Amino acid sequence: MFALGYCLETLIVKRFVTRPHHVQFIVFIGLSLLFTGVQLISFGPDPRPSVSQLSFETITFGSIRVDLARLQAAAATTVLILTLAAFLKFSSFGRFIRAAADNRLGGLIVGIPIPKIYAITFGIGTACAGFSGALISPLFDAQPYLAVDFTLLAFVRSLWEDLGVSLER
Amino acid sequence: MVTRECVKQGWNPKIIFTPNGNGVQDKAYYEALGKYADGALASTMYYNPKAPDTDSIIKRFEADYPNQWLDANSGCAFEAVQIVADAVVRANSSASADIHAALKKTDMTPIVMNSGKIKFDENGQNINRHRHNTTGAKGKAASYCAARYRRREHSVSGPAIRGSLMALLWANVVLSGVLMGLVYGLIALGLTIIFGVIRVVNFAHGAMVVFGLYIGILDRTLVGHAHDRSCPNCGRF
Repeated sequence: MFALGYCLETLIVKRFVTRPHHVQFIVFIGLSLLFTGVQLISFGPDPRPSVSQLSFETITFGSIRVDLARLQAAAATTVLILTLAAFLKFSSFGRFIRAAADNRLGGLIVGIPIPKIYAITFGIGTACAGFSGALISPLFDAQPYLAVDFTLLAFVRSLWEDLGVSLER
Repeated sequence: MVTRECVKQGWNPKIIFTPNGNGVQDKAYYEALGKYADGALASTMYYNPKAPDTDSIIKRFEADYPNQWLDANSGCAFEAVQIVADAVVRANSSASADIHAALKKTDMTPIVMNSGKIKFDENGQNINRHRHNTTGAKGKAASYCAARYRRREHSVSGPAIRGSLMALLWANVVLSGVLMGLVYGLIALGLTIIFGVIRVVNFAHGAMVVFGLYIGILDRTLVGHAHDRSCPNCGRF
């Protein structure tokens, strides 16, 4: 997924970074439709269940029952989020990424390889998406049209996070 | 989905019954649930196992479409084609009006579906249609009369939990919600990191998540994990 994101950025997204917003919207909605179409062709429109014992297993704490798959997914997610936070905060590459987020032009002037950083960041984002998708696969029946739901959910979450950050300031 | 939750909660109802329901007799249901699919009841259109041609039709259907079952939909479609063919023969013409008139007078013995003589009332409903009870057994939808009905053990924890049931239910739901929320958080993190750094809104993010979903399922079905060896449908995709 990282490789996919990296290639996507260097091939397509790069050309649209400095364009106005509505052009970017058109590009990404087009990409989304393209992906959904590819999934429709390769996997078909029917919801596809994962045939796994994992879908049926639970863990009992006292009298509370939790899905094993859900617990595993949450644990892996926590580890990944913490790792990513540490990476952004402490490594020098993480500092590059934060600089690029802060000011693109300033970063370019002081010699940060902005295009490379953009590509890698896009790769990280895509890898996050793919990883979480794989984690929840025992819980959902996969279907190409789920994409819209997930995009919307991710938006709502990001807006919440932005809201939280702006309230803290 | 409902049956899956029942299995997870350790509750084995004796009967799951869907009056006029779709789904329980479908192939996808059995693939999703494997051995847990046995025992669900459905009242639906179904083929008549005692009709003389049913066996040969099923065999030919399976030869042509090895990944499908002859279910309510394909059976009804087959029967519909037969009815129209019958009407065309009786009308003895290819004009639309003649065929329609003949269709209204249809009176034929059904070939695969379970029904009395097919006759239509003025609304176009088949007045002699039958409902058929199916139940799952041995990993395949079987007609009710032929199926051995297997009872499974009951494991309801019983009245001990009834007192604080509501509180437990809440705790259960909240905990699953929080765990699920963490995963959604990871999805949103991917979106936010792209938006924050590159300043583009990635509308294709959800599609990437679904790609991940498919990869996960492919991995599980094609490769198979150590603790999945017991799962009946592994390796079938």
